[in-house]
Amino acid sequence: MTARSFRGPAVTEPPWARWLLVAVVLTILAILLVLPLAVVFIEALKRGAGVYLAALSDPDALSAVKLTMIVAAISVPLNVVFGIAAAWAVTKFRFPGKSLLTTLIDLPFSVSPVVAGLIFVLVFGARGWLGPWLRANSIEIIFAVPGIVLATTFVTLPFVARELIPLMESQGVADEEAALSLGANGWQTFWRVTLPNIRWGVLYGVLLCNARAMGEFGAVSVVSGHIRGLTNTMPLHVEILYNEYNFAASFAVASLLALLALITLFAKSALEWRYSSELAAGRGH
Amino acid sequence: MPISATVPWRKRQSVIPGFGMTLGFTLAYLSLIALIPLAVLLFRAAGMGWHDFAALAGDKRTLSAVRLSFSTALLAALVNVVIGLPTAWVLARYDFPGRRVVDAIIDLPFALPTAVAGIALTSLYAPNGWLGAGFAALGVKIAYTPLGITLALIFIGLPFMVRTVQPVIADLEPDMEEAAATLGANRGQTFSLVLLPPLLPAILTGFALAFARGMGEYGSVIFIAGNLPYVSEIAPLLIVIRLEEFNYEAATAIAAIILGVSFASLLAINVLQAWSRRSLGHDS
Amino acid sequence: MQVRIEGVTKSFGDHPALKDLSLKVGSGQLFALLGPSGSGKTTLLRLIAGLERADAGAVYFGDVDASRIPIQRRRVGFVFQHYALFRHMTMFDNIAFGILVRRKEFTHTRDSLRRRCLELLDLVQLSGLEDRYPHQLSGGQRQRVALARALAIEPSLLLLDEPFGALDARVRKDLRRWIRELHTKTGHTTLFVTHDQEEALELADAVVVLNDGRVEQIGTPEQIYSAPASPFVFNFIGDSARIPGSAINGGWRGPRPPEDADIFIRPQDVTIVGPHEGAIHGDIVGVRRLADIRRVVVRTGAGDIEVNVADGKPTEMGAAVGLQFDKWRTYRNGVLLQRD
Repeated sequence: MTARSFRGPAVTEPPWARWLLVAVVLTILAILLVLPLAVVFIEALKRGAGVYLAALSDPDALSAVKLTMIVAAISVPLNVVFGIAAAWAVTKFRFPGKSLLTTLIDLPFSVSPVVAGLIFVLVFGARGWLGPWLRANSIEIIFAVPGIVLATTFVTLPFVARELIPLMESQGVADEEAALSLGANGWQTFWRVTLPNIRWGVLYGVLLCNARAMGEFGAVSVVSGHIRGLTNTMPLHVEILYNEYNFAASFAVASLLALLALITLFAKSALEWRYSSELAAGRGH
Repeated sequence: MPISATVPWRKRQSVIPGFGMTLGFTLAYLSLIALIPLAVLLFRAAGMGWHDFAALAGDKRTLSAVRLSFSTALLAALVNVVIGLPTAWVLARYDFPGRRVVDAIIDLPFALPTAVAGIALTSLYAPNGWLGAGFAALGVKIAYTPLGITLALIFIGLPFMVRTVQPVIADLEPDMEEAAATLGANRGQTFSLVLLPPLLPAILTGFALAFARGMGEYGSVIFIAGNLPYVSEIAPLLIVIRLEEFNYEAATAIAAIILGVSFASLLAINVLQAWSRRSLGHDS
Repeated sequence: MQVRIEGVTKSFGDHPALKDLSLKVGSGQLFALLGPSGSGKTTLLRLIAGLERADAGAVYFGDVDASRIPIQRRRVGFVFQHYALFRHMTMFDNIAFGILVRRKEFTHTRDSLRRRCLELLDLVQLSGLEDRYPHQLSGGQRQRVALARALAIEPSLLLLDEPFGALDARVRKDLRRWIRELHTKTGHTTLFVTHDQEEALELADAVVVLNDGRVEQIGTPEQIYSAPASPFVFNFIGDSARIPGSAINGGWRGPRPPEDADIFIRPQDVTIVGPHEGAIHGDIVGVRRLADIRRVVVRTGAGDIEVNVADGKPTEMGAAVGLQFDKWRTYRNGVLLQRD
């Protein structure tokens, strides 16, 4: 084992210390992170492939998968458009209140998922702000798909924007100025110059946004009403099955979500590895 | 022909088009999806009046749930400092087989849906689970106790710690350490006297992020918590329970407390980073 | 095309970048905007291009007020300091970009577009590299592609922001000569920004010296060098020493009271003479070797004065010497009083 960049003996630890530290860290990570992941697949397949496939082909499971995909298919594109627009406004212009806006965009990350669900109940619920009006016009939002979409969009709102803002900040405006001086109009500049420059950043944001959108539990749980076959997303279905002590089925559905997580991690690492220079540096999460 | 001195500021600033459109859309979308609903919550909490709010917040069950969420989140964030610092160090400094895979797996808690993490941790640490059985033999019960809650929050909070500290370690130039070595410091002294101070803002930031997340965490906790009122019932769960009873006021009051604690810790991060930029001249 | 700048003022927040600046650039000329960093030269260039808007004043292209022309239709070829080549496009696509987005103005067929781009690559001596991406080229090559891209839109005006700033010394020299030749060949009205006086003097038909958002002097390189209009220009263009003294009727009377005027001299305009001769006296306190000459530092009552000394002439540390001034300029309150 070597130090990552060349370091003289004075500025690294002796080999035995390095090995020890690595061993301790790897052990902790194996127990804390890898073991729970492994358990999901082991529990899912414990009763055999037949039970596993039966759990996944159950109509309620299928409708949960479908709903999860529908919700992601609405909220992810919305947040992509939002993220690009917000990053454009924040990074290409100077205006008063800019840093406040950046802080507000990050706000949903610091709101507990349950609170994220609650705020929509307070707005649209039976005893909420718009509740009576919605009932009078027989519009259903809470305990229905629109509520799930809203709550999911809320919790995933910052993902694309917070990836693109530092990226576009570091890229500056020279490319756009060059395109404009060569005669391009605003849309031409965006599609031909800006978008190709940020495409991997957008994809990166989409990956994280989608993983969270498909996996969101707390916020969706509050607004969904848990109606099987109608307002149950995959994570909610996992919960219902688990609470019914149907562990094999519960872990079977969970294994699909775990697979999604693994694919996300893999794709994310591949992007970081291949296009590190075209992604924003130093992102925390 | 002189342009009027009262040109609006944005006309003067940039030739790049789309300011009105993108900012307008950003503000409208952000307001509709996030700001207005959040404002409704704060408005409702404020509308209760101090007396009602204090009565709801001072409810014994509420207090014990908030105290539990606070203390387990705090403990988990502390443990994450202890685990996260060496993890970040190893990933930033050493090369070993499989480093890339380990680096990728750090983000698992971000990518894995919380409900999945919740049932996986529960089946591992339940008294009849793989690890739980061993602990049970020693007389230690993990699942269905505050210990289990803390464990789930350690899982959830670890990437916040590692991902905040790792880039700062990677950016530390070796010349400071070399200087310390030429001045006679050993590795331990170099670490604690030369390396730790610039890392401190990042460590505190990671700590605050992990804590804020733990305070509001729901999905990964409710399966392993046991959810016994006054013992292992976390504040977010109590919100759900109050909502199911259609007691919006109580739910709102608890939500306001959780939000208050989260915002306070994030405010602390901002103050901290502003301070560290000024005093250390770098951004953590 | 002739460019006229009239009374332009521009500030960024509280920081004034240009103060009531006026300037006229004749058609087909090669102009250098020379000044230290922060003097406003890049701001002026961006203002002409339409990348910034003036707070007051106007830029005229010919007789047309350019503030009425949006940047897309100004037909200004702008070469950015770091080139701003589109990273995801080949050299060919970079050059073709301006033609493609202006399809209405250029009636190119596929073939004629291709011919035009290859022609431009040939002009900048990069034939055969049309399929390369920016990251596959050296700095000097990127610079030339950026220039070809700007020329592709058949600009009426060519603007270059620190065109040689990011290149090493050798490439810089070659490119300088090459740009001069290119300008002779194409005849575009050209302005370039530089902080390197040598570059400005060698390359430009006319040099505009900027300081603190104002024009200090406009002139041919010869005028700028041999008749600096202000102490700032004198100082900025080459090594110099300032000696306070008195002036009567515009003539300098030596370093004596009342110190109401300064003379400025260059090291090559001073001769070392005997200790009792010359206008001023002192001791040799340093001898340095420059590339092709020796530089002697003489400590006098008016401060240290640097003198160029030809090889073979004895220079002894500590020796008392007199200094004779062959050429100098006298300024009072920043205004030139007398020429030699």
